[in-house]
Amino acid sequence: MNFDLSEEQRLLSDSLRRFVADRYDPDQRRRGVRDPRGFSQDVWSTFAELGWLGAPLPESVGGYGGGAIELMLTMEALGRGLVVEPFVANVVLGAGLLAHVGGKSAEDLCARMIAGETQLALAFAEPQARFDIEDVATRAVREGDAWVIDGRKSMVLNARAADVLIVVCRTSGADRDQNGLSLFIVEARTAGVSVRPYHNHDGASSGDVHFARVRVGADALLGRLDEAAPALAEAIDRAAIAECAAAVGAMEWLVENTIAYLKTRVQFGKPLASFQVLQHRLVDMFVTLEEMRSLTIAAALALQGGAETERGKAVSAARVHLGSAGRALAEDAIQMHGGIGMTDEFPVGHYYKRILAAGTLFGDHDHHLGRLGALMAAD
Amino acid sequence: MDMQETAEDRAFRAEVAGFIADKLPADIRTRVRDGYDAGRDDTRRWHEILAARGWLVPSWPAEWGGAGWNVMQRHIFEEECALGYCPPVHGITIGMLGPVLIRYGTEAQKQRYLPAILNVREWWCQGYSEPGAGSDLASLKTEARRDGDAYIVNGSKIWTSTGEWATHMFCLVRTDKSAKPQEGISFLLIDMKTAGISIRPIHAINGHRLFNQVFLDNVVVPVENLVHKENDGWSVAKSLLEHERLNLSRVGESKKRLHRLKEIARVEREGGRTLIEQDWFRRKLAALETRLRALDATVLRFIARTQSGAALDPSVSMLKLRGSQLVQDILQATVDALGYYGLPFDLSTALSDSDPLGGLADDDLDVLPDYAAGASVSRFRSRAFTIAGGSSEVQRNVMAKQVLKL
Repeated sequence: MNFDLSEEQRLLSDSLRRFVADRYDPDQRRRGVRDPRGFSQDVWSTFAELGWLGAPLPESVGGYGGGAIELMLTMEALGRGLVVEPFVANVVLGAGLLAHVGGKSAEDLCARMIAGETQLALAFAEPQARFDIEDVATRAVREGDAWVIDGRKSMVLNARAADVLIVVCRTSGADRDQNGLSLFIVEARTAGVSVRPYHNHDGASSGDVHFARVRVGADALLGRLDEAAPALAEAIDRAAIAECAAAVGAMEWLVENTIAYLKTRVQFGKPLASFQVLQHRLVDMFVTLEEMRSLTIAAALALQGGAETERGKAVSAARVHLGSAGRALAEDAIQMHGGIGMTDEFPVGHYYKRILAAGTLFGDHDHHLGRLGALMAAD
Repeated sequence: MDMQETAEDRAFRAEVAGFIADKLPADIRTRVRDGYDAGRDDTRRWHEILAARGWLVPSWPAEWGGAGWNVMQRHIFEEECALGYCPPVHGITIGMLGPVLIRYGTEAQKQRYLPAILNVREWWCQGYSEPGAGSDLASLKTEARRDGDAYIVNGSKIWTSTGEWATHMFCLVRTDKSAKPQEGISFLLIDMKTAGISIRPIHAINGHRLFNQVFLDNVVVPVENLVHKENDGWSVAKSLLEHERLNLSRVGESKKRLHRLKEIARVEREGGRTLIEQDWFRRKLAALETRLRALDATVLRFIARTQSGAALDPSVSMLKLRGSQLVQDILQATVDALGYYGLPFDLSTALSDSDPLGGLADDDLDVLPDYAAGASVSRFRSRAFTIAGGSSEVQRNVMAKQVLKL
């Protein structure tokens, strides 16, 4: 047993945290949110130059050979800085899935993403599916040498800026079958693709994407026909833990800064932090943070090498805690700040929103509670 | 013992519901139903409709336009307005300032200000909290120095909701710095057009301008705008907070929002079935319904106690404590029911003067179901319910000291 970071991991974490502390202030964040592409290209280029886009990716696709622990360390730093740049969409969902599937075109695409030249997005969710990734009604039908895609995807992170979409399509079976899912690489400018963009409440750029008789070549098929479900499930689990790690970073900031605020805020002639009832609540926040950290580490380790069932359990447990205790922590941070915590100009509310968004993306509390129970019952 | 409404109560409920069905403009109803706050225009239109029916200020005395309803009828009215998706009446003006003037104001003050409320011409905002005086309100520092026939007011007030459209502010000021904190405070009426007043918008986490900070720089206020006695403003402030405390339960609002959640759950799907068909979701609904029923029956017990002539005791704080959190949890459950569509954020209805995110003009929220975007906005707004108007911590302090005598 060893929870220590390697020297390389420590350097990665330190450099990311330093970048966030020194160079990612609220104005920089706002510039990213307001940018027509939903993020700042300057920041993204810096990520590419410093090697962060390849850090958690295997060497086979041009990455630096890191894994889920590197991903966790990266996301903690990005969560702590409320970074809106589309790291999960590109690195985890895009390149992560490409790396898992492999092949020449996938590797080329990964290399371009790692260099910061190509923006990726994964179109997997659908309005009727809630959080069930196998509930896919978007269909790809073979017509001669081509595939023709019809359907609608929701919550496509980085939809605005994506040059290339990886689209989960049904190629056989009924709408909710596990088998019969395939992945297609679709250039965003292909005729029939239309993006309906929106911002999530945490500032992330996203959108729905409609596919109306979108015609792509036979080489657009990524991986094996009808057998995409396991790779997709792995990528979504990885992204789900990336969001847990981002929440850990955000919770860390909230715990530190709520303590600091209550030490300085004087009411009734003494600092709020001297009231025992508030001290206990701060202690509970701190313990929730440490539990969240523990569950995220355990899930990241399960992603690195665990059996599929253990991976699912570890991921779902972390998600359940994030959606219950983690959310309560964020709500309590606002409550203890009082009115100032309700304002847009003060960071607390933005951290609260980031934790809420992290708790929804890739399966919310209720979804993972059901999944964890089902996995336990199947044991 | 029984909890049934009387035949008269039921008839009254039907009368109110019929009035709302008949008179509430459809566009306002839709905005309120979909979770958006009523702005000045919606509030003004609704006030005019209520005023025409004689129902704008039902709890005021009859000579000032009151409806002569008993406490149960007032409760039924509030509840039906909430259930019918009416915008809330402007509580600061109708529920706070009006009753204070009726109780403490001079005849001249009543004649000057009350008709303007009844005619829907003037709006008030509340100058209580200050940057350094929140839950500890008595530590407020805005000072009013007497100078001949006027007070010269200097300081700053914060969290002044609707300050941007208020014509007047009622304001707690310190008139005696040597007295104990609660004993040197006075209650002043201030025209917002007076020289020296400036206002800074404060946008909230839902993207809307929910609050303001008001700065008072050598603001000259005539002495006749003092309400009650100099240095006895604290008792005025306290009486204002005591008024209509039964409404602080938000029980009607919770009923409405839980009903709305059920409607949404009949549409939203998982695994090919609607949410309302899923056992896990029904249990969530049932847990909220249990809390709502506890609140509802507790409200009725307080109403019965009041109707039998007893004064409201400090334990009424439990209604605000539980009621505010219940609305928050229902609204969060509503956003949760939307799945991924709980995430997109609608800033299109945020006030345009300083859009805090900005540059989001190409956002396309038409892809969402009509109930989605506003649900998120009102969920964020509701975080203030456990902070404003006496935080949950203050409510617990009140009950610990005054009810449990700890």
